[in-house]
Amino acid sequence: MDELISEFLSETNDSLGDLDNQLIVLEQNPDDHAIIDSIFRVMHTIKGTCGFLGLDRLAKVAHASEDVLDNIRNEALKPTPQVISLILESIDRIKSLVEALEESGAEPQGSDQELIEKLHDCATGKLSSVSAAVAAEPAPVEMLQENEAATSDTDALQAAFDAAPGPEEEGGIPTDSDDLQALFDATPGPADMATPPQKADAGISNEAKAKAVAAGLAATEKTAAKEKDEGGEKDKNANQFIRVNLGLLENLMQMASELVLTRNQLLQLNRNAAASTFNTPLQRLSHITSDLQEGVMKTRMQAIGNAWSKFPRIVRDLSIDLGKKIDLVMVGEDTEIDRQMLEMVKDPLTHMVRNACDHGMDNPEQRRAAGKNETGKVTLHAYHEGGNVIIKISDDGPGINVDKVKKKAIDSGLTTEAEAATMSNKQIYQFILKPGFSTADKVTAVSGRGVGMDVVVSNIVKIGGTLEVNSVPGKGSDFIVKLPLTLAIMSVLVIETGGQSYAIPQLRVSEIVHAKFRDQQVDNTLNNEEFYIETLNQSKVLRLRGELLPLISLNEILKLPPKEEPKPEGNVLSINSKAKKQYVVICEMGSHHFGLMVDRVFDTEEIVVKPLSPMVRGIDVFSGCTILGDGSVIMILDPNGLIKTMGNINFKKEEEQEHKLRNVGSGEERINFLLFRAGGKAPRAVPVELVSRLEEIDTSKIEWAGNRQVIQYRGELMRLVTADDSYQIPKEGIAQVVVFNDEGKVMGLVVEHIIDIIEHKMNVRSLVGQSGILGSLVINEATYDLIDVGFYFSNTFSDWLATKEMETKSGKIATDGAAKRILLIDDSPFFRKFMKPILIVANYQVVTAENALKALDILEESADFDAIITDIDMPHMTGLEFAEKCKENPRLKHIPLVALTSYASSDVREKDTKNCFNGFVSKSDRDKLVDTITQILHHTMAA
Amino acid sequence: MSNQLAIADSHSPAVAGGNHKEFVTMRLNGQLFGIPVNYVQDVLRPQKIAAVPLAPPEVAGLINLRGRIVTVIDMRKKLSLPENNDRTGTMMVVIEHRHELYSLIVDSIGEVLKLSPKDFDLTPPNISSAWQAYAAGVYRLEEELMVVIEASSLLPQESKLETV
Repeated sequence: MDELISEFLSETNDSLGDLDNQLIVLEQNPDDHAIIDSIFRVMHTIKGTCGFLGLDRLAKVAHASEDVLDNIRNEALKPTPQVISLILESIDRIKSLVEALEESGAEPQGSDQELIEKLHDCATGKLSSVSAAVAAEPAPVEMLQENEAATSDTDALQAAFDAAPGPEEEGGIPTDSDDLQALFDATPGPADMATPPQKADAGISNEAKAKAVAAGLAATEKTAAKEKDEGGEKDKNANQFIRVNLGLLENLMQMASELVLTRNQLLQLNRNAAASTFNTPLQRLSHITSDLQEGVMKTRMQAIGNAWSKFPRIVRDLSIDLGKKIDLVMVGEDTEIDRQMLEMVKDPLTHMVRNACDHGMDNPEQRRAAGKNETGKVTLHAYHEGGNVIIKISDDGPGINVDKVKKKAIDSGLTTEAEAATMSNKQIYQFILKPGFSTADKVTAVSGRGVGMDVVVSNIVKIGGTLEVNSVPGKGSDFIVKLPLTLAIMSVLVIETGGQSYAIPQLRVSEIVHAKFRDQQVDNTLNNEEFYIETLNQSKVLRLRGELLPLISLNEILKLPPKEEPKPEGNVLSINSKAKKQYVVICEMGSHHFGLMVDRVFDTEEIVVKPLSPMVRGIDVFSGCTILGDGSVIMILDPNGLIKTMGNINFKKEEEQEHKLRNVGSGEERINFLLFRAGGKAPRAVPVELVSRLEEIDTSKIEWAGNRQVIQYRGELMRLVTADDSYQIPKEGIAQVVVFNDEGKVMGLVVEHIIDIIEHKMNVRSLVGQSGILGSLVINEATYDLIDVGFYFSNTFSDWLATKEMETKSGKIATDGAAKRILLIDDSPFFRKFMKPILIVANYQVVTAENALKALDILEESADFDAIITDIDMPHMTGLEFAEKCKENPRLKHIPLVALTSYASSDVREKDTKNCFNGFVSKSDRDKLVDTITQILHHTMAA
Repeated sequence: MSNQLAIADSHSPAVAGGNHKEFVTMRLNGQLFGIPVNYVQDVLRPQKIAAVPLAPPEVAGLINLRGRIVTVIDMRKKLSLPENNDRTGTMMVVIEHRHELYSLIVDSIGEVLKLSPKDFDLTPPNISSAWQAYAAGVYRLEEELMVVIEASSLLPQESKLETV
């Protein structure tokens, strides 16, 4: 093939990949000029290059599309869904032409006249007439929405563009199994343009191929792809990738592991031989072997996002077909998963995403009626957990209708009425996974024929996974796919107990402590440097930095004989028998923390998880096993399973979690504090978030400006302050400075020395009436003064916040019992962080949101707030719009609203507050803010 | 052992081409038994086994065989036989079942025998109950009887499909 052409192919394939998604982004943000420009550029480049290379068909299609894009760019044309559909269609055409070009080295025969004409019509604003004309086709009307109609010029194109209805379906409801299979197998890729789908199988392989090329790794055993490969296609270098047979990779991996074992043996032998000449070459061999093993392992891993790349398009097309508004949110796209698994899970995922859109999502009217945002959300979330890959497909639709499922299950003979009556909701949801089950009232083009979920389940089970269904009426449904990490790489900590080694996933280990058994008779004094194991009602607990952690003895759980007394040469230090020490591995499982007592702790190692044999699979505490570098087999502990074993140990579980959820942002929240000394009696603390950086300055370079000390810092003058008069900046030497920065105003707080940065609860006690100090913090039994950065700012910059009087009025604390919950909305991160401590000190629990949309999300979760404080000027949604939204919502309208603004004028104040706000505060007046809130709350309580 | 070898030899030429089956022979608590040779992947000397706490008692643990995990089954425990005190001849026989490798610990291992179907008999009902469950029949050898062990019956059956 011409070298130029292959270069063009490689470049074009890259840019086409992004175009789909960019267009969808454009559709959602029609005014985003950056995206229009970028799309235009790609199309322009394709047009130009094709013209240059004499690729006539491509050039014409690209040219016509470019015209449309140009009009969008000039704002002569709005990027309506119809227009976007048309452009997507032309991109599909370009893709198929490029693919054909890649295979044969020449453009295929054919005409694009129809498409080009449509593009022309579109560019000249005549699109609507086109839709009307096509709508007259003898297709079932309810299956063809407007946009869809615009695209159905040929059957093949229809198949390629419109994921859901296969070409056969226009004639009616398909009945033979191939069609049903095709439905499940979802989107036939654009490849189908070149080779129209003979049957479903070909569709899959083409799709798989397109994806494999895009993803960079390919090994497709599927026939169609193979045929093409064998067809002597040698020039296929559209990407810098080659296809490798999966079996070959598997083999390579096996051999690499063997090589590692052999290497280890060699190293061992060499170590025993004195002064060997093999040292250097062995070292090299060792390195190369490790690299090789790592490399081979990596070849199998792929980001799950590769399987998701098609979803934005699918969801978009579906939402148009179904007349719903659906957003797709993808989280954790870079979660790595074994390649083979990825391939296997792709079709089931596609199906579930379609299902979520079709069954899961309600239409805009229903959503509005339910008080939800018109636009529904389908969320894909992938993450690793406990040696598994979890993929969660959630929708925020109406949830699964239990009664309907029950009725259907009884009607179809899956269960009896009596049985169904005794079933839990969760058991009933399982029926939707049974063959031939569908709750959709009518069969749509998308789903509803009851083919699907059972196929999904069997495909997932085939790769050793499980599928769980959860649903909350009115809130939506979750489909949780749990896949084993058959070949996934994991880092583990190797420990020993009862004379045998075990591995713990490193991810779950937060720290390892060497703790003492506390013997009350011997020493009653607690030394802060040490960790003590104590017995509480026969359960062992560990006192760790002021928290009590439940302890589990691995020996006991595994029912191994109790540990022998440590031998002198052992790793376990034994000072004397009374001060026995114990290794404790602190494990973290979400909100669950516990300590695992083990005999010895070794190293961490990267391992490949192997599944357990069926004979030992049922044991909860193990998630798998592996072969270590030295060839020994070792079991992998599953912290999840370990937690289950200590069911009888009472430790804060769900209640705590719930508590945490409720108290987002309350005083329980942990934040990072910078601890330092700066004169005065007590050390000081400041939230790290407020600090912009830590610097060292040469104090001899300090200059005076007026009566202030300043220093040149990054080309500007930085004003220097001290915490209080008890500390003077030394005349000479190096001083440490904590730098604060707010909108260009830079202030340096000169300190004696930085002590530490520590994560701690924001449990401030306000007691001092001293300026510049918000209150006291007790961290690890020492008291720190929490400084009020605002005080220093306003002292240093007289115009900062135009402060009237900045004395802290510690007397103004809301004193009535339980802390009130406040939602604080402000787009300035500094202001949020600055306000929060002030409100906390005044005994409020504070949840912050950076914009009104976020705030609405938070309120959606829980409307349990006593007041909302919102900024007026914010991007996306102003405070006023937000307030109106709140007042419209029956759940929220009772919550008092306080407006924050930087306007000084009282006219604005009157106008705004009358409608929606219960109070109004100038940003510059923080004391009044606390006052206003206190008053409002008082008022509403009294009313 | 040599006499068995002799039997094998004396039989094979005469009935070659018949429906003969080959068995790897082993002994457990004195009893001779055999497993079809095509099941057997490997024969290993005893080696360090990684114990699996909380596993069923017959599972002795796991070993690594050329990068694959092998589940080791203690045949004496599986058949509820008494502990073996003489461990000198102990060997491990590796078999593959449903793409999983298992290794059976036996007291000793013998020859590979090629046996004629005419010597085959159904399992006598009075054979000890421990063997009964796993025996597929017996071969009448000159000196003694050889129990044919249905290897798959020792091992987990079709794994349950998890749907939830």
